[in-house]
Amino acid sequence: MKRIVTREDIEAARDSGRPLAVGSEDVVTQAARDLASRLGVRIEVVGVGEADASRPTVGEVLAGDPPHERAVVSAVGRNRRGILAELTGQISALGGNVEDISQRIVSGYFSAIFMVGLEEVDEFATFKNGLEALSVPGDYKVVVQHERIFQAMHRI
Amino acid sequence: MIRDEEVLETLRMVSLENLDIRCVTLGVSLLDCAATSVETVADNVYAKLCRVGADLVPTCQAIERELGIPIVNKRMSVTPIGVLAAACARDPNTDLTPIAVALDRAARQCGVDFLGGFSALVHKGFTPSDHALLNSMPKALAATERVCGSVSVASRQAGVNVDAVLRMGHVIKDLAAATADSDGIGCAKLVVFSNIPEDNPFMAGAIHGLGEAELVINVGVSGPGTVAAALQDLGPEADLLQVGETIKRVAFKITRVGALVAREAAQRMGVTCGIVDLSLAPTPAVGDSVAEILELIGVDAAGGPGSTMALSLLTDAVKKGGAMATAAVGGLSGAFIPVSEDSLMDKRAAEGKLTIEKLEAMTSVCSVGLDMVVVPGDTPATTLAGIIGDVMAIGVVNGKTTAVRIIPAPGKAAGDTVHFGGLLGSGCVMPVSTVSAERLFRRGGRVAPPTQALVN
Repeated sequence: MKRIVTREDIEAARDSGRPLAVGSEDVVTQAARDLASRLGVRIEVVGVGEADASRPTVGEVLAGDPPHERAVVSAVGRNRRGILAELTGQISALGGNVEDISQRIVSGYFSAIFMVGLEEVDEFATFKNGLEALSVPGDYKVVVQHERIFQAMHRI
Repeated sequence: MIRDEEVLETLRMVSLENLDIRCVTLGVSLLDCAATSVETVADNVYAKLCRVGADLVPTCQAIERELGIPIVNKRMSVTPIGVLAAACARDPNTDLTPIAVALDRAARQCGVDFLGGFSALVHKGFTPSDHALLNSMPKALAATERVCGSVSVASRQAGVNVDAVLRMGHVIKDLAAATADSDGIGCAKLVVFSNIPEDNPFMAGAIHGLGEAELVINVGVSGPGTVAAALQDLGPEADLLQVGETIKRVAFKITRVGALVAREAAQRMGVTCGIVDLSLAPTPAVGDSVAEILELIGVDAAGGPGSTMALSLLTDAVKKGGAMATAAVGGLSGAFIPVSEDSLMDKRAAEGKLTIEKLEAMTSVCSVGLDMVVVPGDTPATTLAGIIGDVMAIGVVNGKTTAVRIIPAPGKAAGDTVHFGGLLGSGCVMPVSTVSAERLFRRGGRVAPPTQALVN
């Protein structure tokens, strides 16, 4: 039967001084995983075998998701018809996935900030160059930066 | 999720306020390159630096692209050559120029603009190889383009090695003469230190100290323009506590970027992540000036009364904001007030509002106080030694790093102008006191360390 492994199980394992054995179908909560790594409690997956291949095993879940990487694309310039379509079209063509967009037009000037998921982007440099190539002096300018710099500057 | 105003603030800081990472410096231990012949050492040094430094510039360029922030200088620092050369320079007359040439070739090969470490640690005394290094210094720095040198002549624990100070007066004169055709530019690559830091990423004084790991990435941040813009927004009504708080907030953000770049670079190159140096480093670009910050704080002209207090406020606030933002602070971590590299500082010097004596006073509250100061070419070596000795005493007694980078421009007199170009800028020749220090230095010996050194 499927079991939910929580922080209490991790604490009990710590007190017993033995690794925590979990079945391949069991669900280990994020809080439990964090606590286990903090307390140094090892989680051992037992009975891996005939599990449903389409679902991730506990072992895979424990390995953690790959980090979700995003780029921040900002574009500023003179407003004109089709500018947004041009940008989103190019983002999509380069493999980016627009997750959020903030856009406004102030006295004829267009400014847009896109949060773009990079799961399907192979090479950051190609993505950046492809988008920044849309910049036209006197028309509008595109800047592509990895989300990390904003997190570093504005989040503790 | 990142908010719009945060994105716009970052963009403004980079594109309008000259925010950049001033330098990413790869520290390299060369101790395994030691050998008994100068030629072998030179070969070993060249081979090792080309091997470990090959990835530095491409890695930094990739980080620049991804984060959208310029990394202005990519540099390397190495084990002080005076130490490395111990086995190959048992004779103090050994010429160590071939090692400097090898360093220069390696720097060019790796695409770094400066490489620091043609250096000696003589704050208490000389070894034969230290003598050899100082003897070779004028020729070596004149013959090379990218190699920087530094000499530690004082420390809190050792006091001031007055013989070394006088020696540096002569070395600086000889180096100026060896590069006379370009106004003594060689001296821009030589720094004299008290309490030399072992992990400083900034040139010309970077070395890779003996307590360091094999390979280390150290990062120097910058951002006078960003601080100036924040103070402009704050306006003249805010009191000085508010001024300090504003600077702290900006310093925090600048330093977070520095720490991010240090982590990324170290991780990608597979080397130790060292420190972030919290120094505001000006450039000759308009709007990238420490003097401008002092004037925004409220001094009418940098160098005027109140300048030392304003600078102490600035340095302190930068440290407090920066220290929160990174796990490891190091290097010099204090504002730089170079004259020729800071266009407004140079202007105030030309106007006679900023004097060498005031720069010396300001040394007590920043790191490199007498920096890129151009003086008349006929200044005697003993007078240069006197100026250096004064700055060293401030460092020893106050337990802090102080440094001198002074250029006696051959054939130039007070009021003339010299042009070095690039980051080194151009400088007016500042007048120097004509009172002699010769009798003082004829005594030689050492100034004993102060009682503050007796802390054990």
